[in-house]
Amino acid sequence: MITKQDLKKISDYIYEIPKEYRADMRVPARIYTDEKLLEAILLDRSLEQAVNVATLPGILKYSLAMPDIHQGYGFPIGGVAAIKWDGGVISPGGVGYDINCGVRLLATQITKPELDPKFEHLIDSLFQTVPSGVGKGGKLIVTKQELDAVMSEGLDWAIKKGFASKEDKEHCEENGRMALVNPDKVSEAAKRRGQDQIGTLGSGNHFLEVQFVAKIFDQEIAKAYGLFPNQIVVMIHTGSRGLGHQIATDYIRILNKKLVEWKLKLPDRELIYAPLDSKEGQDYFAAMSAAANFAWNNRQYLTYLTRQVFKENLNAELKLIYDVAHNIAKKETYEIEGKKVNVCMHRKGATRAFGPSNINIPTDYKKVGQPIIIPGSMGTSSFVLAGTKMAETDTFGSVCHGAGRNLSRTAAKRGVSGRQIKEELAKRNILVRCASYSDIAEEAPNAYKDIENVVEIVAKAGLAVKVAQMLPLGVVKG
Amino acid sequence: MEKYENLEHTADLKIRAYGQTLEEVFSNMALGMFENIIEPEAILNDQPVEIEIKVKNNELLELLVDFLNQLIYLSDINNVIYNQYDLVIFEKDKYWIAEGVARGYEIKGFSKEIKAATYNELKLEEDQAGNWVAEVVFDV
Repeated sequence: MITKQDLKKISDYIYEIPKEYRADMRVPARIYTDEKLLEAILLDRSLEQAVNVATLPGILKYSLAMPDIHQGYGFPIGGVAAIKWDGGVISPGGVGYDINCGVRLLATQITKPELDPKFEHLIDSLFQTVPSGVGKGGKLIVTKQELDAVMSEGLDWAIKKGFASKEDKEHCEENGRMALVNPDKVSEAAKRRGQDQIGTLGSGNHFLEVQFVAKIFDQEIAKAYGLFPNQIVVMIHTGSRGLGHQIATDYIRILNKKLVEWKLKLPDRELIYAPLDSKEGQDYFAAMSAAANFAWNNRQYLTYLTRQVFKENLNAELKLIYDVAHNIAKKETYEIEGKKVNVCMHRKGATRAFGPSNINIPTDYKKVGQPIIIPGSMGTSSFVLAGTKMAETDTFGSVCHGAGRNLSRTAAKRGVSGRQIKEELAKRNILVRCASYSDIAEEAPNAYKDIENVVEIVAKAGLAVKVAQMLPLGVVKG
Repeated sequence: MEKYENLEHTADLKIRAYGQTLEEVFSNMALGMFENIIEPEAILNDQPVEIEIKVKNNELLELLVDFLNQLIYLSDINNVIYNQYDLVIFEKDKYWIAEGVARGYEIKGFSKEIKAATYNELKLEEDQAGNWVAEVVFDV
């Protein structure tokens, strides 16, 4: 186990595990945290996983870990790696099983006092309308051929079907469409699961939450994003469902079969990788991109349903502020030592955080930087941050993605039932509608690190600017 | 003999399963997996199901992951759980094969979703007395 003595303090918010810590490290590992949160991080094996990531061929500068880091498989969750595109590798473990799990924020023009009398009815309508729960099929029926279009065309498919506007597309990371995609690289099993589950929220930590803006930290940026005090907003957190899980399973198996041929020595088999110029590496990238496009359409269709409910109940419109992917690998370009370098950017439980004037962010946000949507755990606050130039230079434009787990799921569940949590939240005027109480118990607020602390660290480290804090009113869960 | 136990793990579900034979340790691991994602009242006991299953791998350790991931897939698309297995596991032409029948029930819904059985901290060992123990981390 890694201990505090193995870490070098770089600043109040950056700790480093030097390259000398283990012979197979190619770069140091850098952890964004403060001293207090570090104690919690040291309790699981996440830092060892950050060290493992530092062994990947072609990794540039650092294996990075965000303050919400916790133990995953292969990469830690909250792990970031920029790997050079030419001659480098791609690791499905740096993306995760829920490919393009992500979060979006939708904003109304109505305020909390206007919503209050109608709120319970609204949350019930949302629960009835938005398909949630494990394995439950949705209302959206797509043929096999159409599923290929969902995967190939990304959000352009949703526009064609009338589920999205052009403005929605502009307000998605990557414009909701990965380019290097090939649905033929997706197995029949994955497609079958995708067909069943498109347009569904799923379970676990996935949710749809109605929130209000409780605090504005930065007036100018909030204005650019269209956020104001007491405003009602909706957050949707889900990914590529069974389609993505199956693609990850399929390719981790395929790549593990190449271990001997490629003479790979892995510290952890979930860290399996493929050279980006190999057939397997390119196939995985094409299939992973297909799942990413599916996920953007999934969140978009749920947005479409949510918009209908808001229209019927409140005659309110919902504008998409932004949609971010926090489990993904993408081709991005950075300047390193004066040269433009293409990288395969792995963000596993981390969010892109591009600063002002970056060419990849929409025109209306160009002056202030990209919105970063940070969902809190159930019953706690969520945040909107803005990306910075410093993030682009220090962390390849990356920040945290949420609160990060603190307790094991079994420990979270112990001594507290889902029903109790629901009642406690109801006392605080937070309504929970869910398919399974067991699931709620595992997502209990005490199972997570303190979101305010996590956000404070990335802000103080200069990776993001705090813009707004939202508090929950009601949540729909699987 | 205990069939399986849940171990502590921050983000995921980790199960240790036991068996006097390979078939038994595979079956008990699968049972543990399903019992972790289903409430007893969600099982439709009057809707039994049965399916043939066959997985093949040149490594025994990986065969366990293949077996569990195949069950996750079948369970996900059919909305069922499998809690009884008639399996044979054998080696043939340098490949390990697990084949047989999985039986179970249709369900009203899962209480949680297992994304995959992973290779993380994966173990499958036989002790001197010939008893098997396996450990698998599931991404949930």
